[in-house]
Amino acid sequence: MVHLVTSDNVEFVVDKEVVERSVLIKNMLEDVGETDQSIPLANVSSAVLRKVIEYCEHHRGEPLPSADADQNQDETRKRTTDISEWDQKFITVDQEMLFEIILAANYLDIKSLLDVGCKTVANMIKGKTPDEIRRLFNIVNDFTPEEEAQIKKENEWAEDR
Amino acid sequence: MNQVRHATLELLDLPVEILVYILSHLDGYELARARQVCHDIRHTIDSSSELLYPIDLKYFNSIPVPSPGPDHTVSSLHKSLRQSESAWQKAEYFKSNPVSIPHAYITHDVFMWSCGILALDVQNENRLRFLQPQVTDPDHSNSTSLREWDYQFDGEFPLCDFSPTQNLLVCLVEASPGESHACDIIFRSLSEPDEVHPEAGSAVVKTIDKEVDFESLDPSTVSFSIFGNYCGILFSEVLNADSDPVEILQIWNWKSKDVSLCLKPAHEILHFSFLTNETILVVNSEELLLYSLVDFPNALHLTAKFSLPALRTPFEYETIRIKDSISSHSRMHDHIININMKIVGDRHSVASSCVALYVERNTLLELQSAYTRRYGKASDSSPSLPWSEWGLKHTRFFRGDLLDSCKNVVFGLRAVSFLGSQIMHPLPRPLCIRDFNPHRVADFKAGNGIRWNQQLIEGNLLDSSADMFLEPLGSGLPYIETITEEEFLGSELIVEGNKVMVLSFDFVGRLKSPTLPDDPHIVENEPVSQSIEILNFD
Repeated sequence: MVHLVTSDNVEFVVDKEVVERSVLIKNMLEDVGETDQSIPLANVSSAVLRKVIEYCEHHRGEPLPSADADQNQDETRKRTTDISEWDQKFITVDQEMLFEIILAANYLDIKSLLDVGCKTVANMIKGKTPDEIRRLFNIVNDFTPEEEAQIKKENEWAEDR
Repeated sequence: MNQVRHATLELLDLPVEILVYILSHLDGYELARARQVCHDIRHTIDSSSELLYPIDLKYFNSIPVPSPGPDHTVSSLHKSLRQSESAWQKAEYFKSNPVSIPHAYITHDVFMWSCGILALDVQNENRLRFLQPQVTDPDHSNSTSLREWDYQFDGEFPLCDFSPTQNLLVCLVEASPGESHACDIIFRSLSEPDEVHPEAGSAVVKTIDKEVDFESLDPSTVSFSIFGNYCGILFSEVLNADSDPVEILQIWNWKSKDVSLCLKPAHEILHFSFLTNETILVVNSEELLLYSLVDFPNALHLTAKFSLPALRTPFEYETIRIKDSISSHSRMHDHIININMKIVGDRHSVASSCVALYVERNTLLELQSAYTRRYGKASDSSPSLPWSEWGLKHTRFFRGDLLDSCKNVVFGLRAVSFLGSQIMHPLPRPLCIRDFNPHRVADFKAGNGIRWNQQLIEGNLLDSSADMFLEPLGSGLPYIETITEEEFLGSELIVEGNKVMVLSFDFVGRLKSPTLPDDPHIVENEPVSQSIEILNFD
């Protein structure tokens, strides 16, 4: 069992096999060896870690994607945004939690979780107008009217599809 | 930012590499739209070749070959894409030194030129010689070399076709006497023609019943098309035992053993071509037909019929050639199909004319569903979609010329032609580049970018031969035209990727001839030299 301590000082005790889906922790454990000492995760809150562990539990035992496989990923595969049903349900959270999970997955180096998070955001962007994207993500339109006209002109070819 | 910071975490608070990773899941159109959201996102996209490359691939309608990998980083691919597109737009090319074709192979008669490989009949030697010009030094050192190899055959010069993508050479030869079929088709490796193609299902397949006389086969009435696993041969006007002309379109899966299918349509077939790995385009003297290969080899299903523009009496479509000098990988992508049609009047009138009908492949594929919606499942007896309902909007006509191979040479969404006609004398002619990419046309209309020496062409231009047609011709497919300053003496023209190859005969010998300088027959007895010049738009 591995002891993890979150930024808000909550301790989690997790199966080694589960927690090793995080490449960061896996490497850490390999460096340190067997230890009872808890690992501090200063960038992850308990609410987020709970979700991350839920994800790792569910995907326990699945093979980790190798670095090579990533190299061979072609354009078309990369641009697909299919998410499995369980993952879809898992990632149905509010935006802040979604971004927190993405940050945690990035920090803990859990490639498949990072993918699920980023694909979810990409799917939210897809098929929306710039204005709808702004509203959805609370983004302020900081273009001047001239800039906006110019950039609209630049993208005229991509419209009408 | 003046924005009041929200205490919560937002999209733009994510580190830029994560934002790039999120955006990398969007396609080119979605990225182009995302650029319009705010400065931060636009800056993120504009600073990443990984994100700009898919936008440009969409914008230029280009084929992402090769795929990014250890040898080709996204940023180097992106850079070379922009470079070559800009070279095409400005008609800026670098010319490699012409490479001469060895004197022994010079021929006016039998040669084939496809995908950058020239195949010549070496007379009296039963040899087919392949020549492939190559730019030796990619660092623009202007030198070209010829890769040469032979195929030694028995007997007559075989009818053949080849596909560099499949490394396939298909030859049609007469069957041995005493066989119950007329022809053998052999599948060879193009690079080593003495070997059977390693993936061929059978080395030799039999075709056409014995009652068809092989001797009566006119080479000009046999057409090939190779696409992926399929190889099709159209025999038009072969004579059967009763000396009646018959037509046979046979399609093989050349990678499987003896798997083939014969099409016997209601109308005569003038030509055919594979559009995708499951669609064949067939033309007869009235319409274009699409057949689906999904049930191959059990059946070919007719999926749609599109009328050609009706002609005034006494005109009729006599010869139709679907010209596609496109290598197979690009057929996965949208491209222009050039349907070259010779129109003749009755035998008392000398009038005959040649037009080239351009249509986008994707348009035809999309019209299939429009057809089904309107007429239901197609059958031999179902009507064809009237010309006025598809042709007007989606096609464009150019003047064609079946004798001048330097017209309407299509690659992807671009077509090149030498301007002006070449009647008897080869004349130096400028190269005209036409870009039908709808994105570039829209962008050009929006007034973006520097205009170089380009011209936008819209509306219908072809009027002189229009009196042969009963219906108005298509005025779709607007394009951007660029014409080179330089003029070329070429008799054959092909485009392969970003290379334009010009095959030219040097007629110096003929011009020196003191008598009858206008008599074209003199040419045949004069020594000529022949060379290939490559214009690189890389």
